[in-house]
Amino acid sequence: MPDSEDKTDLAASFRQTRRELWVMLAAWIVFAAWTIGYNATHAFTEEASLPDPVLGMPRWITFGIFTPWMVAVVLTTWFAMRFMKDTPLHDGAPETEAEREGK
Amino acid sequence: MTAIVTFSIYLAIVFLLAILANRSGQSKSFVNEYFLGSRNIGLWAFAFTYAATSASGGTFMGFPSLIYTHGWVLAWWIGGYMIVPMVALGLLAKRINQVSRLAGAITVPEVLRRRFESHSVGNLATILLLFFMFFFLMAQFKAGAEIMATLLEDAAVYQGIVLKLESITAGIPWIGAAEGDYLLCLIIFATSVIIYTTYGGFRAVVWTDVMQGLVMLVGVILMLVFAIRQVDGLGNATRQLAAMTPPEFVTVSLEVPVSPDAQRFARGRWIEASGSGDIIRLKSSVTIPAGETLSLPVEALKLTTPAEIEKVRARVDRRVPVRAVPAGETKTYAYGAGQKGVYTSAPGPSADSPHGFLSVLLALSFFAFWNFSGAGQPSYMVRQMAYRDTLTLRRSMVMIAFYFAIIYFPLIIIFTCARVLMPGMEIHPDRIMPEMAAQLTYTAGIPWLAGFLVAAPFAAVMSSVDSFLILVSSGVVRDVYQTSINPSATEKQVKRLSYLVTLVVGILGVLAVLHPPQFLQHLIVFASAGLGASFLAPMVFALYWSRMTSAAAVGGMMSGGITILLLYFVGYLRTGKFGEYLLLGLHPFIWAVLASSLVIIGLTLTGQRPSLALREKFFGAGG
Repeated sequence: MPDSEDKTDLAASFRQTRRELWVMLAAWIVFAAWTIGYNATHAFTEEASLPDPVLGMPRWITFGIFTPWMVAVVLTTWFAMRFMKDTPLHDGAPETEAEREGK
Repeated sequence: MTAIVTFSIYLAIVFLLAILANRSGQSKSFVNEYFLGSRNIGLWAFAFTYAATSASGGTFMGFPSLIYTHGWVLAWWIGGYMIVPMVALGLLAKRINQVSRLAGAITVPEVLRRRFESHSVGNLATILLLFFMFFFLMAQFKAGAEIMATLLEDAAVYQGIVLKLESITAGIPWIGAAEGDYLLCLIIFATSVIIYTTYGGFRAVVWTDVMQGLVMLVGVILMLVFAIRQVDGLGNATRQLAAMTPPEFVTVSLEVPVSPDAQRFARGRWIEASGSGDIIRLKSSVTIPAGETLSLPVEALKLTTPAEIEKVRARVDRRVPVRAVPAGETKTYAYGAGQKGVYTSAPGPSADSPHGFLSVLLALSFFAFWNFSGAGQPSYMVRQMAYRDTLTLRRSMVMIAFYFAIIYFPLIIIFTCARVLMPGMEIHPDRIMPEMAAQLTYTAGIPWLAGFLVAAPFAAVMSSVDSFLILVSSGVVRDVYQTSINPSATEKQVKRLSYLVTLVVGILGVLAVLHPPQFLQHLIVFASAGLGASFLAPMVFALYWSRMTSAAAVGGMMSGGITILLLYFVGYLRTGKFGEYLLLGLHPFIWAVLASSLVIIGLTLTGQRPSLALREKFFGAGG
């Protein structure tokens, strides 16, 4: 059982983790909207089936998948290195019966 | 032969790592070390073990076969991976590591059991984990055997052993019906993985994952360079794809001049059809008995794109005069038959569905599926419990983001190029990866490198199988034996049982996969969906909602798992084949997670709030 100082730390780290969760979910919605929205309007057209490559790929792949993928890598880097915070992981209970019995 | 030598060196290194891992962990607590690497996994190990586990047999065998079969639309299908490192790790990694440490839990069911202080929750989690994980094991075993069969198929010694094995197993029910080459490779592959996993435990799995992750990375980059060069640029490949039309499936009989000996025509052989000048490729081997001139009807593939027909015409073996005569109906693609541009646009050609391969709703489903089902996989959860500190987590997230971008997108490019370089692979699409590796290196004049390139998918499969074996073994030993049967088991007993369970599970996996379904990816998606549906919502709510009750956890897991089973069962009833039913066009995973979440919310709000002590233990002051 954590003591009261640990409990306060744990509550603070929980709130920080929850903030990170909301940002992550928002990012998922943005990228889902980009790829699904763009491709729904560009991937099924007659132009999509014509040989008109951009960077060697069909145009809808370049702008609907490849570009957001590159942006997502940049965003993930920012999220991990700037937005996420280091928090203590709180080692707690013993992991085996023997440890619990003090053997 | 040189490819086999390269490949053997790779296997030797894997075994060496297992031995080192075993020695390294000998001074530590067995369960903690064997199942969780003593919770001390650093940056490189965590990033690569996570990425390598994700890049499974599906990535290197099933996924390429789908790219080859359906074209560029697969980039959209897999596109959700662009944000997977952020979502899958951002969703659970910090909290599950923290909660598992606070609880002293080593396995995923144990996290849930201790979070809710409920044996029912832990037991149900163990049952669901073992059930769905077994399908994953089956798929990986099949992939491993297929890769090995392709690598060895031209070796004379190997062919001799195959014939010997076939004669030994001929009368044995179930085993005897399996093809000899597949059976032999399955046995070799399974034995290798089971031995090094059993011997080295989680640490060996992680170390081999790092090596395998690097092999995959280098393998994909090399294949990308070779493929683009051999198609004269990606733009050229895309233009050729735009001119292609899907093949047709025909039934023919082979006609030969009378001969005193039986005549055998191997699977994959190109033959000219009678009269029409069409080129067909045999889907299975055919033997015409001595003295006869016509074979029994056999399925074959007929090319329909003029450029492809010209390309393979030179490969028709004319040493034995043989002609194919029609002996049944011709089956065309349900969507895309005779239509140019289907390989470069959505929804992509489909042999079975009149609506094509990928609708908008299905694309949305998969965008959610890869991210959230990925987060809900116990094999990833257990890795998230093993990293050392949050700095390791943050740096790993960046590494994995780059790693996925370098692996997944190039795979799409490589196998769209494969459509141009290797026509007619629809007869056995799951073998496109090793065949393509052999083709690329042979054409480049460096055939020995094929062994290294084939080691990439093999590494992917191995790194997944070993993870699943450890997970299943921990489920039985830790969550069943130590929790319910013998809580005061000695370390020696636990150790012996862990080895035994890993071995037995491996053998059962081999027996179950002797006659697997054609497309690997179907098995993998089913197992991922089942695990994700059973564990995602219960775990997310358990980690973020202090009020959640044990009854809600049980309800959430059951409703998620049952929804997946139900929608796959309906899919089977409707088509007669193993596959999902897309209710309102959405993948069953979406419905299962929705059902699971609603059940959890409903049962929690109507149930009694857990004790303050329990809430404060996992959520801090105020609960």
